[in-house]
Amino acid sequence: MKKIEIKGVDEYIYEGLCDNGLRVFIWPSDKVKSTFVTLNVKYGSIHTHFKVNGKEKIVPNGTAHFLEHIKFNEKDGVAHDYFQSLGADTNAFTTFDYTSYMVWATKNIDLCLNHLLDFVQTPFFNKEMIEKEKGIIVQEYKMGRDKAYTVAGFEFLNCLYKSFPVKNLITGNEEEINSINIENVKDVFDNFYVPENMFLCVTGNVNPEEIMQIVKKNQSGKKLNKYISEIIFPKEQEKVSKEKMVSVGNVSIPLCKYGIKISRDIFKEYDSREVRLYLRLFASMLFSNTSDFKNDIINSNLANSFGCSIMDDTVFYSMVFSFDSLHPDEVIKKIKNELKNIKLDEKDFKRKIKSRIANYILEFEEIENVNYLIQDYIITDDKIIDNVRDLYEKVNINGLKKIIKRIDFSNSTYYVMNPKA
Amino acid sequence: MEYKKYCHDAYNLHVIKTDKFKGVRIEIQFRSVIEKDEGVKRSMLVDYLTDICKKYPTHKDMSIRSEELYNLGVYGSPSKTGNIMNSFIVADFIAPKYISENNYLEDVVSFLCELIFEPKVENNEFSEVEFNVVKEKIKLDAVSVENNPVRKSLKRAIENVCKGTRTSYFLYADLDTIDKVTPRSLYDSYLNMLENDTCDIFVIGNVDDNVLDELFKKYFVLKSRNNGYFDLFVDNPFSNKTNVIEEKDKFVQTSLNIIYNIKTLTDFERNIAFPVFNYLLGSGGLTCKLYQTVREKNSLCYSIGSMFLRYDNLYIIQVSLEEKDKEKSISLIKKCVKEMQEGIFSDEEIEEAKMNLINSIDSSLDSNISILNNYVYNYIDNVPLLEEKKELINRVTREDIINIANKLKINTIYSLVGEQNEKDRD
Repeated sequence: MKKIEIKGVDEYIYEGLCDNGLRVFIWPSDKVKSTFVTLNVKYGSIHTHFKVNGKEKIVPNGTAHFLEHIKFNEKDGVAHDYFQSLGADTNAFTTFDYTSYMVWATKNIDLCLNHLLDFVQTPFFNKEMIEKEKGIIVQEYKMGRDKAYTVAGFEFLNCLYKSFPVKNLITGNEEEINSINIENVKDVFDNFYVPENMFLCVTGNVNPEEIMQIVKKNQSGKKLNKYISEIIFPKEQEKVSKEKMVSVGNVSIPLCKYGIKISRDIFKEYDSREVRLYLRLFASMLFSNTSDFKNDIINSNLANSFGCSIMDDTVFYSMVFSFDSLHPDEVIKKIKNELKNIKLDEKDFKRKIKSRIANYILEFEEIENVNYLIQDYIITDDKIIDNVRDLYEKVNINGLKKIIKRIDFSNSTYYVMNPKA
Repeated sequence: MEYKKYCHDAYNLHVIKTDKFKGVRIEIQFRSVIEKDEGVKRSMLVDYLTDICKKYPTHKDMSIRSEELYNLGVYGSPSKTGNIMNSFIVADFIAPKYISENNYLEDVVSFLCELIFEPKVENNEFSEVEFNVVKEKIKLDAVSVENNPVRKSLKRAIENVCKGTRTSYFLYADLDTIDKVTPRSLYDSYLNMLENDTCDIFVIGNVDDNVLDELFKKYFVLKSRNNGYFDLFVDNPFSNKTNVIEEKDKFVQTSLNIIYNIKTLTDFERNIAFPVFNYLLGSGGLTCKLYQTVREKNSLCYSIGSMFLRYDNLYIIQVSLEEKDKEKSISLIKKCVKEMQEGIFSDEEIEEAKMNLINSIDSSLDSNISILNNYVYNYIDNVPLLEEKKELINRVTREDIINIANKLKINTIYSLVGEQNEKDRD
């Protein structure tokens, strides 16, 4: 097992590998009482089109999430019941990129770990459970329809992306949910719920060697498929999909989004973490609470709330402005103007780095946080990033200026959700 | 973990010293009996106080100072505990041992005290520009309740059940109430808080408690007062019959709330046995009776849960569903509660509920907020400390749970019916 030193924070993450290809990451801490275990499958809502042995397959939107729901069914009951009998808690979630099965426990870690691996890796599907689950998931989808921010988020993604599947709902819509069948679910399970396409994260009060032994023993007795699939993504155009979209929803003040779509190709020679850090620093320097821009917008009542964030959607970056405003056109005019006359201050840059270092130290405290951090490293970079602190030391204001020069800020889209009449 | 209390004329400082966490949390807590419309003012007040101050007169200045202090997170946290309004100023920051600057802790404490004692004031009222920013924010919170079916239905249900009692004094009131607040009236509310509220400061983290006490003595210049105890409990009236209220709104789903009054509970029942009962019925996640019956066996909903408003003597079951499934769900929910009253649950389920609650207490010992909250409630309401709570949970019997179930009486079935035809939208 590899012991990876996380530089500058006095922490270690252990990395192990099972013979069948399952990767295991462990962060031990004697300061906590509980342990958080996640088994993650690198299969999410955007992976609906794939090729196996030369044969192309397409499953309905929402299949990853549907499988996550029904995966808890077992031959002798449901996984929740078993975990509860051990005094543990369990849940799962599906993102664009992956599906995560989680267990929280303070004791019986070995039993929990074995059962998590067993219930996720063992196929057990029938038509009845699929029909039963449709009613529940349709209600989950409808709950989302009542949430303005969820609806706006996906409608906005449809403005940014023409083809790339992040524009589709993770649950699928009602029709898509109802179209999912047992073959779709089995197809996904057989091809993606395989050890080489999974990774286990254990964070908490554990001994890394013991955990690795338990996992290896569990995996050695199983006959599991090899990973032979190839994900197919449609080619996404450089340009935003729609320049403007107006919608209506459960809001009292128009909910607005303005987005700039940024191709990854323009940063080819850069490490993606460096690009993300620079973009986030840029957004923070120009548009966060420490900026004149945001203070002016809020104090002059042009917007009631205002935020700017950077999204990394696998194929593109995007800079997204979100605000509630009765005067969206004016706000957008000001954003455009700010991006035409960019002023970057070195003192500001250095202060933001300093505060980020404090945040980074604090990340290694809660078992959930560290677990999600590891998940992010593996999903985004396929490795543990041990030199984040070095990156903070390396970046500088000139580097930021060079990055920003490459961006075409005119590749933008504008979305408004107006109140219902 | 070591707890120390420093008593002063104006306030008490409670320090929970531990090296378990890399962060430190300070909560400066002002408490008073809530009066009608005062909740809104206090919500605005703690927001105003943490938004700007005399020395850092714009939000930008404040945010820069927070970043200089290694991303010190400071915010106002208004809340209600039964009859009581809590106006808290909270600060989260990195433990001084990670910072090379020697005076870091003093910088943090003096900054926090500046926010409280040196607000931005012009002509005996709060600054109008920043006041308006705070006002718009709370208006946004108020309208966001109106746009969320679950929150709106809960608010409407409580308004109907708790007419005239302090349970119905919301922190995010209607827009008219918010509009009546002025920079002057908010400043008056501030002076009233400083003059009359009970004040406690709770700190958890790796800090030197003596140093901290000296720093607060130096910067926390609150006038002395009688720091008394409060009656936390709201006496919500029972209803002789079940009230059925149905309202319609623009949403897709229907939100159903069944509100129960609870007959007088002993301290043991309230603090220890009720959570076991609730775990079995509605709060125990994926294995509880309501979830299993309404969602798993009948596929009627995605989300169902229950809430115990311990200081309001109310119990609420809430579910989001299709209108056509409402009556069936009501009868299933009633059946679940009846089963609890008749003791239709196994000894194994009781033991699992107890074990899971004890485990969740163990997990909560990994969170500085949970530990701090437990000390707060131990102080204001003698709620047992977490280690003692674990022992007491083991003493809960089947009879305790059945007794609690039989103390529930339905007051109102409230539903906010979603009128929107989903097919019209897509």
